[in-house]
Amino acid sequence: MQQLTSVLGVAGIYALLATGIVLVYRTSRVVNLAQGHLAILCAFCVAALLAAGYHWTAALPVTIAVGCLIAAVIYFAVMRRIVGEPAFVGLMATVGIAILLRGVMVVAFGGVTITTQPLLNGSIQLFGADLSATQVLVAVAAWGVVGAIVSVNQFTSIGLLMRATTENVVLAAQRGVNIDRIVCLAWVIAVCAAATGGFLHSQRAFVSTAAILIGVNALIAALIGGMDSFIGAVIGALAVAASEHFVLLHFEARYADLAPVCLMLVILTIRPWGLFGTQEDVERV
Amino acid sequence: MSQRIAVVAGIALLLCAGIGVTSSQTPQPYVIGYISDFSGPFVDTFSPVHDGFRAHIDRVNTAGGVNGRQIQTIVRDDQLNATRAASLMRELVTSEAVNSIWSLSLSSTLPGVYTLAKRLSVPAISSVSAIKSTLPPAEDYAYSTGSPFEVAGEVSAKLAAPVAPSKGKLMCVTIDSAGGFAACGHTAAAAGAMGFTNDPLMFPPAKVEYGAIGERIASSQPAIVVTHLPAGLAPGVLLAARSAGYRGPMLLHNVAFNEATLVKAMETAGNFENTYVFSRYVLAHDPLPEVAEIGRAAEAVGVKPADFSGNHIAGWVHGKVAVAALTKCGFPCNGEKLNGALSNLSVDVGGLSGGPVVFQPADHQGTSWWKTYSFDSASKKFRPTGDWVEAPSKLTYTVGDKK
Amino acid sequence: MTDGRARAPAVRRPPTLHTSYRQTFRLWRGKEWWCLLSGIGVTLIWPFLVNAFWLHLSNLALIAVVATVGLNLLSGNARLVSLGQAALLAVGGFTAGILGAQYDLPFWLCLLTSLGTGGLTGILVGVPSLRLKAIYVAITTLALHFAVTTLVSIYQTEAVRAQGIVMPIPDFVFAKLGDSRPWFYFLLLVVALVIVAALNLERSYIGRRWIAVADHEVAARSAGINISVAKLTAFAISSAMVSLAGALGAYYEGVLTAETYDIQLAITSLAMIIVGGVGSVLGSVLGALLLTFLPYLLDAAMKPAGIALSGGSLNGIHSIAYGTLILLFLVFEPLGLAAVWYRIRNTCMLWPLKYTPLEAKR
Repeated sequence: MQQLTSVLGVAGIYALLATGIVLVYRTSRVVNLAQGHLAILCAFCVAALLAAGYHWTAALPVTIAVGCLIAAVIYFAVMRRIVGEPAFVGLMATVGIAILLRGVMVVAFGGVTITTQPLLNGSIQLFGADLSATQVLVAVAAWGVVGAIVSVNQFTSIGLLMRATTENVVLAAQRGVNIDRIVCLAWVIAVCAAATGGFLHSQRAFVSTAAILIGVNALIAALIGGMDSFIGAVIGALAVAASEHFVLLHFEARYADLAPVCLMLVILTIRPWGLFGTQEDVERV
Repeated sequence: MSQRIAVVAGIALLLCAGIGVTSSQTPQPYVIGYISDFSGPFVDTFSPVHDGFRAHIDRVNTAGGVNGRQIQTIVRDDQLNATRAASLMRELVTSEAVNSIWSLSLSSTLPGVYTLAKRLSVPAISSVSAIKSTLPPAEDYAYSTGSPFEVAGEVSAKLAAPVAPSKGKLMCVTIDSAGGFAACGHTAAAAGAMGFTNDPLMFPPAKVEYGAIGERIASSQPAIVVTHLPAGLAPGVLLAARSAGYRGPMLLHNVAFNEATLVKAMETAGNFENTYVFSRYVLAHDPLPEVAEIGRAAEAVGVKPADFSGNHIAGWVHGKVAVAALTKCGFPCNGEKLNGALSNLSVDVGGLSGGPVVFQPADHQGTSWWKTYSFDSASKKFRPTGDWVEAPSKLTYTVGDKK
Repeated sequence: MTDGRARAPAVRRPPTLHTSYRQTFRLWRGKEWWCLLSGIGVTLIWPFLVNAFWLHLSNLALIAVVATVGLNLLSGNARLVSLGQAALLAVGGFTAGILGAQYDLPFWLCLLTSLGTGGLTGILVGVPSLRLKAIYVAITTLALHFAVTTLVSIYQTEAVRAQGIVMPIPDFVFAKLGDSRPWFYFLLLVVALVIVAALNLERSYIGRRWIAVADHEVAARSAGINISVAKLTAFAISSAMVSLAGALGAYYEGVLTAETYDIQLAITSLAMIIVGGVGSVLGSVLGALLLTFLPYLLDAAMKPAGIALSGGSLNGIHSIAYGTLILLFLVFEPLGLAAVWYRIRNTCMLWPLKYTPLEAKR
């Protein structure tokens, strides 16, 4: 039971980041390789604010606001200007952003490992087992936010506009959808998801520049599930977390990093578009 | 157009000349090089070592320097990259005319630097990490005041015996690298000779999720866990193991980590029992008066008292060795002369270790002394238990050594 | 600049104007031989112009050029984005390490073998990519990266039991590559061969086949091109070149460690072809040179300004500079440094004319 909560928590964080990646891909067909960097940058922000003495009810919203600002800057300064270029360019733009963010993190926060005081201490009795409260919080919060994002996409009117943009950008633009605003909103939501993911990661592990690797695992999760499917992101995240955990527990730990990648390769060989991805005639990267 | 080109070229030339002029050096002070990791994955380890080193050098400089001359340290960041470390070493030796390279960083950068040291005739002395090159028979121009994996492994078994007197299963946790392999290999060999059974666990250095590792430790239920982990990883593994329910003794090798981070990890896990640390030099929690002295010197260079850790002490000792070597070398002191001074050097470090740091012509590591500290939950500090244990630099066991 | 055979009144023709189809195939398309020769001259006396440290960096840059030209063939011409650069460098390095250090095979044989192993690895990663599109090819190469780095790390830990493999000093019949200077000339030779090979590939049937497949796969197939063969040759040749660079790097560094091959290396290589100019050999050369020297140039530039930064911030500033450079080039000059160079060259050569004829874009 303990292990299940831990895996659910990890999977939740991956799902948060993967949802962000999927959302950005759906609206603008850009694969965001900088998701992990965004998450950890926000984690550093929160940790620094907490260390400076602010309560988490102030630190978290401020960080999310900063994240929204960063998303807006990314969109208007970079992404908007490379529309129309081959897909390769979008990918490399996110790589450039990732490198830039890493540099900012090192300069602003010194590249050290930060520990944050967890919000909840002690354990909770659930389903007859002693569970760490932090793990439960992480799992619940992560999946809660994922659910929120998916329901926004599915049930609100702005979500309808987003889905229209996903289906056919040109047609949506002709119907009067403000593509600028939609894509910017997608980026903002993605960065907010990343910020939450980073914050939750800081609750259960140490924050350092090495933690950026959660972005790679999230990307693998999104790929397994299909780059334009939310359900896929969820299933993918669960698969990645479970495979990592399983291999670490029962085999040599050194293969634990390879497990999600091998799983992804197997799935991609069988279904080249991911488990739930739509088979589209994607332009060459 | 050609006018414009001429103007641009002229400005470019002036800039180059400016850079050239300002990088010329005056030969009066001792110039030593310091290459370490200041922004890579192990900055938590090496930045405090630099602060400790700097504290000692500053104090010596204020007191008049060595042989009447100041010591000038030129610092470079190698970002834990072996190529960069070697390139920076070349830069320091050719452009800045240093006579030695100090501290270095993790063991993966050491082979390249030691090879280059021999080629350029400039000694390289590592502070925290150490590889076989400094153990007898030692390579020329390669020195270390740190903890070689092999020696640490063998002594850890000796130190584990009093902590887990009923023997049983010894679980050695380390990172999946040649160093970790050597560490746990020697631990297993020495422990096996003492009556332990072995269950090693190695994981990739880039791991960030320790939950499964903790669970693996808990499900294995060893009699004692011995870890040879670098700075940022040990607290994480400790936290994971305790959170997963392991309550047995854990003996952590102080490959220079911050005591405060460990304490925080224990607080987060809610468990303070049965945690031990073994280290070559004293920890910051040791009640020795010398430690307080070093703490004050570290504060003078800007270290906050809450951040003061065993790493600063390791840096201080490193600085002591540097000063002793330069004192013996005299002036002018180039790389070859300094190498001669280093190869036969004994530096008294007082109570900071069980004995002096000794370099000899074929042994650039020397006998090291180790002490175990146990965590006292009442005072929230590590307290020394037992005496200094001697560990010779000549290894007792071989672990399938190849070329 | 009059052309001797013209009988009409001397018309000033732009030197980049091509008047026959055959002319576009020429290796050297300019007319300024003095420009080329002076460039070669400066390169030949370069070791005597700079100090040992910058010479060492120049050697590193030359090795990077070999790797980048190889990557450019794959990711630039054939447009198959590859994140496996670090893996291929590791393959080359460890081939040289195992054969050269463990089995004491001669230098030239190790280099040739690394070409072979690199090519094989390329085909190995190319076969699954045939079915996949776009980003998924990049991810397959990422999988290769993880696989190779794990294997290499296991080898170093278990088989070598040391922190690194020490490479022997290469011994040729006529020279011993012990110091930076002989290495520089040897690397110049290798780079020249690689550049000529890449240029030839580009303008030959093989290269044009890659560009056709990259532009529009369906159209290429209907033109009769075998897509699989095209993609596999791209992977094989590019990987062989990168592997060669890896072997050279291993011998040059003198010590081979598995930790040097991390994902950062792959990202930096992609950055090199982006900044240099995707799809052009000159671009990859310029990109490799700039991005190898950049961190050290930044260090040198910040020193006289007296910025007493702690060592940590320096790394951060390097990363910020890298990231900003990539973004600036992507947004404002997608064709990279090569395009910048051609613009400067054309302005200089066509002056006082301002309009650049179409043929002179390259």
